[in-house]
This record gives sequence, C-alpha cells and structure tokens, in this order.
Amino acid sequence: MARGKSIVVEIESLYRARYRQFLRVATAIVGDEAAAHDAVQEGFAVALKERRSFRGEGPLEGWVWRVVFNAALRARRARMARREVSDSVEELASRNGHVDEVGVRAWVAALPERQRLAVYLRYYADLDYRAIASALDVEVGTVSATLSAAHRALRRSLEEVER
Amino acid sequence: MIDVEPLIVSELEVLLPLPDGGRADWQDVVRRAGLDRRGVVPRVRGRWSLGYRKSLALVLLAVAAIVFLVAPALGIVPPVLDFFSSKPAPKQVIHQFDLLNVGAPRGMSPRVIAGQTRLVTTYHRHNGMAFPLWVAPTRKGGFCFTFGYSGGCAARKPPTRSEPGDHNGGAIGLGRYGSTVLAGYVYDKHIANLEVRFKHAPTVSVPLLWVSPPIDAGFFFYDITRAQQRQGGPVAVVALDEHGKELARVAWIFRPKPAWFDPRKVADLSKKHVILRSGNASIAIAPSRTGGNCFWLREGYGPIGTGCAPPRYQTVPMAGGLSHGTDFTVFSAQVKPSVGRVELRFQDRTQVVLRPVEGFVLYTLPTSHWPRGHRLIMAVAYSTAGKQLARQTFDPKQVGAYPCSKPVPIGAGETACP
Repeated sequence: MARGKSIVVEIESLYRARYRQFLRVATAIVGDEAAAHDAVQEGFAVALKERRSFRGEGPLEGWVWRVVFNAALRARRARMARREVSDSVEELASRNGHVDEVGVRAWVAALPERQRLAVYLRYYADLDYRAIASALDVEVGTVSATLSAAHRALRRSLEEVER
Repeated sequence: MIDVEPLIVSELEVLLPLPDGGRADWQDVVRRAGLDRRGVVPRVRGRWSLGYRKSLALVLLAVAAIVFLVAPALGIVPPVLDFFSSKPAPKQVIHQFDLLNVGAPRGMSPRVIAGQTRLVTTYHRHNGMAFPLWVAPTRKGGFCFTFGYSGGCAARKPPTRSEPGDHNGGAIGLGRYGSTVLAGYVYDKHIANLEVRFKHAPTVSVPLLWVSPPIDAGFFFYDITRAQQRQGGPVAVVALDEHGKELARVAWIFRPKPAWFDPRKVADLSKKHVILRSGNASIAIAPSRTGGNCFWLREGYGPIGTGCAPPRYQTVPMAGGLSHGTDFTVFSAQVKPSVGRVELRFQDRTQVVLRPVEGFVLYTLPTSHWPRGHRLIMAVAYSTAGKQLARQTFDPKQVGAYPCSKPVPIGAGETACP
C-alpha cells in the first residue's frame, strides 16, 4: 500500500510538472486541444487506477506516457470515426496559418505512426531514449532505429527539395 | 548531408508551441480515477454477479455488432480504415509506385512515398476478377493508387460544396476502366452517399471506403451489370450529403464522344494526303465530314498521333509539343490560320523558322540539338504581320525527351536519357 501511495504522489508530481508537455503531445496526436486535455486527464486517471500494473521495469514517466498516449490515440480514433479530424498535424498547421504543402511538418505527418510518435516524444516532450522506449513499449535500440529512420526520411525529403 | 534535427525542432515549435498549463486540474484526474482523498480506490464488493456480467457482455457484444456491422450500412457510423494498419505492399508493388516518380518533367513528379504503399482493399468484379487497391501517400499531401491495371495520382484538393447541377469542383475523382468498371475517390467529407444513376435502370448507392490520413479520402468501385448496360448504361455519378443534398455530379464521362473526334468515322480517306515531311516524320490530313481536317502524325512507319477537330474547336493560336522515341524527337503543332510562322529557339541561341501548311507545322530535331545546351527551349507563333500570337516553353532538362547513346539510372532501377 505504501508503494501504491508513493506512486500516486509521483504521478501527481509528474502531472503538475509536465502537464504542458503531455498536453502538447496529446494535441499533436488528437488534433484538438480540448479533446487532448480530456485525453490527458483520462490517461492520468487510468494511470492512477492501474498503478499497480507498473512493475518498475522502466521509468515511471515512460509508463505514464504510454498510458496517456493510448488515451490520446483512443481520442483520435473517436474523432476520426466522427470525421472531426483529417490529419491532426496538418489541421493544426492550417489553424496556425502555417500550411506549406512541402515542408518538415507535412513530412512528419507522412511518417509511419511509430516514427511520428517517437518524433513527438523526442521533440515535444524532450524525453530521453529510455523514456521513449518505455512510452512506446519497445526496446531502446528500436527507439534509436525509429528516430534514425525518421531523420533519414526527413533528410531525404529535404535533399530532394534542395536538388 | 543535412542536419535535420534543428529543422524538426523549429518547425514543430512553430506548428505547436508549448501550451499554457491553465487547464491543469489534478482533482479532476482524481475524480475520474474514482480515488478518495487519500488516493485509495474505494472497493465495491458483490455488485455484479457472474450472470449479470455475462448478460452485460452479451449486450455489449450485440451493441458492438450493431455499431460495426449494421450502422455503417445505414450510414450512421462512417467506417474509417486505418491506413498504416493495412497490409504493406510487396517489393514489386513498391517498385511500381517508385516508377511514378521517375522521369516526370520538372515539377510534375507526384513525389509518391512508395515505401509506405498499403493494400487498402481488394475489389471484385461480377465475374470474380480481383482488383487490389494499392495506395501510397505523396510528399505533396495527396496520394497515388493503382487497382487492377489502372490508377493515378491525386493532389490534395479542398473539400468542395457546390451547387446542384452538372459539376464536380474536385469533389469526385472518377475513372472509367474498361467498359463496365467505375472507380475513384472523393475528398469531401460532407459526402455521405455516392450514387450511380442510370438512363433507365434504378439508381445504385455505392459504398465509400474512407481511409485515414495521410490518405484521408474515400474510395469506391462499381462494376456495371449487363442488365444496367442494356438499359442505357450510367448517365452520372452523384455525391450527396447526409441530408440528400447534391454536392457534386460527374456526367461528362458518360457522354459519347462527338463524331468529329474520331478520324475513322468522319475522315474522307479518299482525300488523305501528306502535307509536311521533316526527317522521317510526316503529317497527313484528310477533310472531315464535320468540318476542318483530320490529321495523322507519323515517324518512320509508326503513328505518333491522330485526331480531328473542326477549326472552331481550336481556341489557342498554337497547340503542339514534342514527341519522342528511342531515335527521334519531333516538334509538331496545329496553328490557327492567323499564324504566319513559328520560330523554334534553342539553348545554343540558334533558331529555326517553320511555315504552317494547312494549319500544321512539323520539325524533326537533328542530332545536333539532342545534347544538353542545344535543346529546344521555346516555340513562338507570329502573325503574318510579325505580331507575337503565342509562345510555348520547353524544359531542356526533361529526362527522356531526347535520344542518347548511354541511358543513365534515374531511380527505381530504371534508366533513361538524361
């Protein structure tokens, strides 16, 4: 019970310290800040309820990221089913008035899902490879390979444009 | 080598700045988790019996069945296929998509991301013939697709809500494959129903398969039956919103081509004669029974192009281009009677002047104009008084437009003349 209570405290600390980063990544996934906030709240609530399933095999933060991630992906699927979302990244770009058909943003949007999520976690959440691995439920080496593949794809796109 | 990391950071920062934390509400999280103030989940014992849980499971199963099976058919829940969850394409299909990027004129490449090609679904004709639909996103935000032996690429277009009538406005991408298959895609998410309307047969509603981003489009496929063909065939494909309001209509594709279009039907072949020769190329014409002439453009023994058009259908002073084969490049154009001469300008500042004959000009480019630095860059049409009437530019860097002795690799395992 003591460990359970201390995890609650840790999760609360994480929430208070990193809410903005969670909201940012969730918004990138869901495509709408209000829906993203709901996903973050729901994700943390699930993390609290399921805290005993955290076995301490990686950083707690990575595990919470995974739970919030899944909540965001569920929210995104729900929005897609209601046709409220076209492509979250492009939608955001459009809303911010920064649409450019050929650009890093469009290329990030075109990355395979795992690469895209890894990019979000690396650059929006500033997570290290170990935490990203825990969040994506993959090995650290896979994170490295995934981010390398994303970089390669983006570099290729850039080089094509510069040619 | 480009360091992409700073670019990613700055672009993502612009795209989505760090939001403020004003919404943060830990108590809301605690409430949602059902915890008490001490952070403990209150236990409720004996609330649901096994029988109750079984019944609940059955009810949920029935609801799920309704949601996933019945509702889409009623148009209540639009099914959206997750693109990246679909089956990845094998190497040979990826290669086919790779080829789409190869050799296109500058700016015309679809920039398809062939490695992300997925099998979205497999359609079937009435005779059982399968049409696997392969789709890949492009770096331009659109997608390319193939099914069966056909396909194409689609640029992203904004959703269009048009007024009723015979119109499209980019809402429906429709192709006709063979004599019976209608297939294509739609972008406009207001489209809830797509109908094929027939001359006499009853209207048919065609299911749309919506595919998630980065494709973000709905696909359709319909094989017209013999009975429907016998009853006059289709006359239009119509897109409707959920209230039945017409958003788009494509009808032109079903209209028979005008008779004047086909030389075999309207040309007086007894009067066919050659009017122009240049190298091995020639242009022959014959009067059309619907006015004007039909023409036949040939190089050596092979036909390159043919057509008929009454003079009133030529709206521009000069309409032409380059035709090329493994050992020739030919410039030809049809010009209005007002055109007195056509000037061809080359990269090496040399020029060639062509005089129209019966509304046509023809020029086989000599080998001296094949290498880069000597290629055609512009054709300019002048009136007899010397007034410039039209100009047409050519990209001297277009791959494959000129013959060469040593084709070079151009990607995807293909070679072409640079």
